Amino acid sequence: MIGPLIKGLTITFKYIFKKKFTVQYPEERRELPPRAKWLHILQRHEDGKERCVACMLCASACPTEAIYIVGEENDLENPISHGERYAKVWDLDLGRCMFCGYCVEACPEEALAMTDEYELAVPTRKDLVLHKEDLLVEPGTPPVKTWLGFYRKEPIGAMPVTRPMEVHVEYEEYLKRRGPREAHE
Amino acid sequence: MIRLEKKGRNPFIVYGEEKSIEEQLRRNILLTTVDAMLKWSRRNSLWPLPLGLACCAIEMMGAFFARYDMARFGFEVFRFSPRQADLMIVAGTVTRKMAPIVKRLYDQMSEPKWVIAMGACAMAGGPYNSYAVVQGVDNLIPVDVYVPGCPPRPESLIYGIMKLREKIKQEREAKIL
Ligand code: SF4
Ligand code: SF4
Ligand code: SF4
Repeated sequence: MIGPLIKGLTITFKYIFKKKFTVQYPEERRELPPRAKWLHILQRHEDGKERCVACMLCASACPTEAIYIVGEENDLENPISHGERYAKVWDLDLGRCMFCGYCVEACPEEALAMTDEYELAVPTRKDLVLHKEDLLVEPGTPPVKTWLGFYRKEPIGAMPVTRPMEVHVEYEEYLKRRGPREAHE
Repeated sequence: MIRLEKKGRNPFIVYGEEKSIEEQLRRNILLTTVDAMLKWSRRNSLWPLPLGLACCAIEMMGAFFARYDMARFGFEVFRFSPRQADLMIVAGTVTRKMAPIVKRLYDQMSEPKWVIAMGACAMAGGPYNSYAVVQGVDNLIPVDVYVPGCPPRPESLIYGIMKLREKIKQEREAKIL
């Protein structure tokens, strides 16, 4: 009887003097790997304009239909993004999202990125839907590496703007040429 | 939601400030002391009933073992009998066949009881938008804290439980009759 007891206690005492295995979570956090896929953010260009051009590719790529976008055409004098359109509504339903990252892979503008923010608990189901205001970063925030960033050679944020501002002028002329939109269009 | 908190909004504040005289009378010194004691004891010894229904259960186990040792906070033991538990962690996909059992286990728990919905499936059906899956466990039982993720990290679950403690701290239970 004594033998097994001593054997067991030896193991116990051996572990007392070893380094503590437990992570003291709220005070001490484990470093996440660089590709950790947690809360999404919507990034901005260096000049503060939004990167998202409401192309809906992320919403189409999403396997759980967690993203809801309503795009609107930019005001030509005071555009919100560098493209023709910007996202008026950009909602993400965390109740559906499974953090697969397909939306980030699909985004051609490097607008969407995933951060290592995993503390996401909310008290009601309504709070699970995050809106654009919650996800959009402040102007001047350094860019986060996206999927494209991992596979490309250029530095992050060097992705060319798809539609430079001059295009707006061309587009305006085109609109004038074309005339008002037909009802059936 | 920490991003919301950073922007000055804390969704976990349940009650506002009480202004009416009746309310203040109701909350006299004796009751607030009793209340404080009750809340202190409750929030520091939440014994969870693990309802591991799918893959999220693995991360729930991860949160309870040595690495993230939740016993540090007094969430000491997994209680597999609902009578001895006061926190139900619904971790995983609640299918229609499982729904009556989830409801029954909840009913068998003694008051006061709280529920955490862990993972996308338990919160809102998650990736399974299908006839076989209950679209959110809050269709069956009231949920106090939702922990997003698929599955959430053990830290996310611990954060959710800490937020639940914050919520319990604000509860007002003791009454004159
Ligand atoms: S991470 Fe996956 S599930 Fe979540 S929004 Fe993106 S594509 Fe949809
Ligand atoms: S794929 Fe990128 S640019 Fe297109 S709508 Fe989504 S976030 Fe915006
Ligand atoms: S949320 Fe994801 S990990 Fe959790 S049970 Fe559902 S599918 Fe599995």
